[in-house]
Parts: sequence; structure tokens; C-alpha cells
Amino acid sequence: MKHTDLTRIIRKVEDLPTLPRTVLRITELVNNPKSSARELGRVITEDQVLTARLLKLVNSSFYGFPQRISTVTGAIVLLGFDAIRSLLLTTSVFGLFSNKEKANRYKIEKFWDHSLGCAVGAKVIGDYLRYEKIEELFVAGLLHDIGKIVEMLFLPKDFAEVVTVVENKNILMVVAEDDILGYTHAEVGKLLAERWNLPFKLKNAIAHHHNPILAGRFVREAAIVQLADILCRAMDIGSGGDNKIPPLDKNAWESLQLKMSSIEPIMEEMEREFEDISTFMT
Amino acid sequence: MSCIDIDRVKPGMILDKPVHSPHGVLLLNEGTKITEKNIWVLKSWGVTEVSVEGKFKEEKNINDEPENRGENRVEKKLKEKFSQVLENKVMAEIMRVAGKQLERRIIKKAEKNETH
Repeated sequence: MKHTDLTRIIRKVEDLPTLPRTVLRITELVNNPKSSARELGRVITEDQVLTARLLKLVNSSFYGFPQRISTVTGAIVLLGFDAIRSLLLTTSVFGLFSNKEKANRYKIEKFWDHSLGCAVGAKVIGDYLRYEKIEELFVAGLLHDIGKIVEMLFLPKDFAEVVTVVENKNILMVVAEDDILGYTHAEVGKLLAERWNLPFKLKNAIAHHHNPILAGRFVREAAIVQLADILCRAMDIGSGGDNKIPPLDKNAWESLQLKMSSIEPIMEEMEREFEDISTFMT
Repeated sequence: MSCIDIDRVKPGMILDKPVHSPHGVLLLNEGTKITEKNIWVLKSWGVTEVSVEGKFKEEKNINDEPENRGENRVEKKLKEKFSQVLENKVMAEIMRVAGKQLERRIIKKAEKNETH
């Protein structure tokens, strides 16, 4: 990325909406090993909307707990701190997508479906791999293309140029961005992740979802997001803004140690879960 | 029974064999009385001929271009999408499963329209 572009984007990123204050405070609490579930619960319950969303999500089929969870503290104890943070991030990010601009509405909705599909995909793949912190994968999938939203809302001229080229040449958006702008949505997403102080793992998955091998010790996470992205596009879940399937990095695939025969059950499960989750997220 | 070209199927004809999509999903059962919508849906899956009750003389359709047949819309769309990545076996498998899912989705949608 050229230096001038980078500074221009950073300036734009400064204008970006910050996460709700509650979420930032919760992030701090989660990072502090001395915090208690009760403390965390008190901060969450101060925000009624967040509380309602949290309880709705933990009681959804997504988690599939057999009994109803009616208190925030109960949810925290059951899910753990990290899961709660991921969950709150999920519900807050949703606000970013519900943009009032009419012109982009259709595109944003398509992006949202694509992101949600990718989140579900990353979760399902994670389940298959017996990955421990499924919620983190979910958030990584949800945010992997956040850079595109930033471009659309804050760098509209650049974005329009990219869209025109993508449509005329029928190429991947990431290729067009690199050609025309000299930066990609993955890099923009990384800047945003830094500004939001998102966990390292998440930042790396966003930054390297097109190039998992560069994600250092988070290759696995980036590779899972890459595969989920590919599956969503194949399954026509939403739209990532272009009509091509990005290549699957061979080394990334091998690092996952997934069997070829797992592809079909993963895709079937994705389809089921996406239907379930999109009914209560939208 | 006669096996006739999809272009010659008329509403009201009765299937005497079930119709499957190119991927093997059951589209219509035998005994179904074909509707206008059925014909449209069958065409969109790339079904080229069906077997119906009664006798209909088969005429060769002159506009029958072989390169336009046998490959349904779903498959065409997928091939276009996957055009640059198919040498990878994993990708080929993903495309196969996606084809199945997308076809199933079309069927579901058509069934929904039917009931409304």
C-alpha cells in the first residue's frame, strides 16, 4: 500500500463509528483476570438493548442449551468471558451494517448476509475441527469483510471505481482493489481492527483472509475464514461484491487437516444454521 | 407412453415417469399433471425431455442446438464462478455440493410458489 493512501485511509478511519462504550468497557473487564462474572454482568445489564440481545442470542438454537437462560450472570457463567465478548461484538457490529443510506442499502444487506454466512461457516468448520473458541471464529467470519463496508461508507469514490471494474471485468474485488487503489479491504479491515483494539487473533484473521499463510501463528483461524468465505460464495449466501470464487490456498487447506469427505456435511450444516440464525439476527 | 422434447410439453399432459434434475434430485413424480409453471421450472433446470402418457409423435426440433442443452442454469453459473480455481480438487468438490444445494433451493422456491 502506498504511503499517501495509507494516511488518507487512516484519516478516514478516525471518523469511523466507535464501538458502543459498554462494549469497550466489557473488553477491558474481560482482559482483566481479576474481573468477576458479577462485575461483568452489572456492566452489561446497564445497557438494556445489549442485555436483550445477549439473552436472545444465548437462548437461540445457535447455542442449543437445553434449558432457558434468563439472567445475564447465568449466561456469563455458562458461556465464559471470551464468549460473551465475542457475542457482544457480534451484536454491536450489526448496528454498523444497518446503515441509513438508501443508495447502498441493497449492497449492505447482501454484504451482511455474506458476512453472517461466513460467520456461520467459520463456526461450523470450527465445530468439525473441535476448535475450542467457536465464538471467536464466528466473529472473525462476521468481520472478515468489514473493510469493504468502510470503503463503501467512507471512501465512496474509491469504492465506486472498484465496483465498476469488478462488474466490467468480472474479477474478484480484492484483485480490482489492488490494481486500482493499491490497497485492499483486508488492509482497511486491519486498520479498523487496530483502532477498535480487537484481539490479535481477530485482527490477523481479518487482515489475512485472502492470504492465510501470512497470518503468523493464526494461520489456522485465517484459513478457516478463507474456507468459510469460499463456501458462502459457492452457496450463494449473500454477496461479497463480486461474482468469483477466490482461490483456496493449498498450504492453508493442508494446515486445517480437513477431510475432503467433510466438505459436504459442513456445507449442509452451514445451510441449516444460516437459515436458523438469519431469522433472529435480522 | 412417449418421450417428448421439453419444448413440446403442454400443460395438462401427465408424466408416466418421474423427472430428475441432472444431479439426480427428484423434481416431479410420475402421474403429475403438468402445469405451465412446471414446464418453466423443468426448462430452467436443463431438463431436455420427459416421458408422458399417450402417444405423441416425436419431431426433431431444428432449433435444438446441442451446446445449449444438458447444462442447466445452476451449473452454468457455478462453472463461471469457479472458472479459475477448478484445478483444485477441493474446489471441484465444493462446486459439486453447491450445485446440489442450489438446485434444491430452486425446487423449494417453486414449491412455495405453487402453494401460494
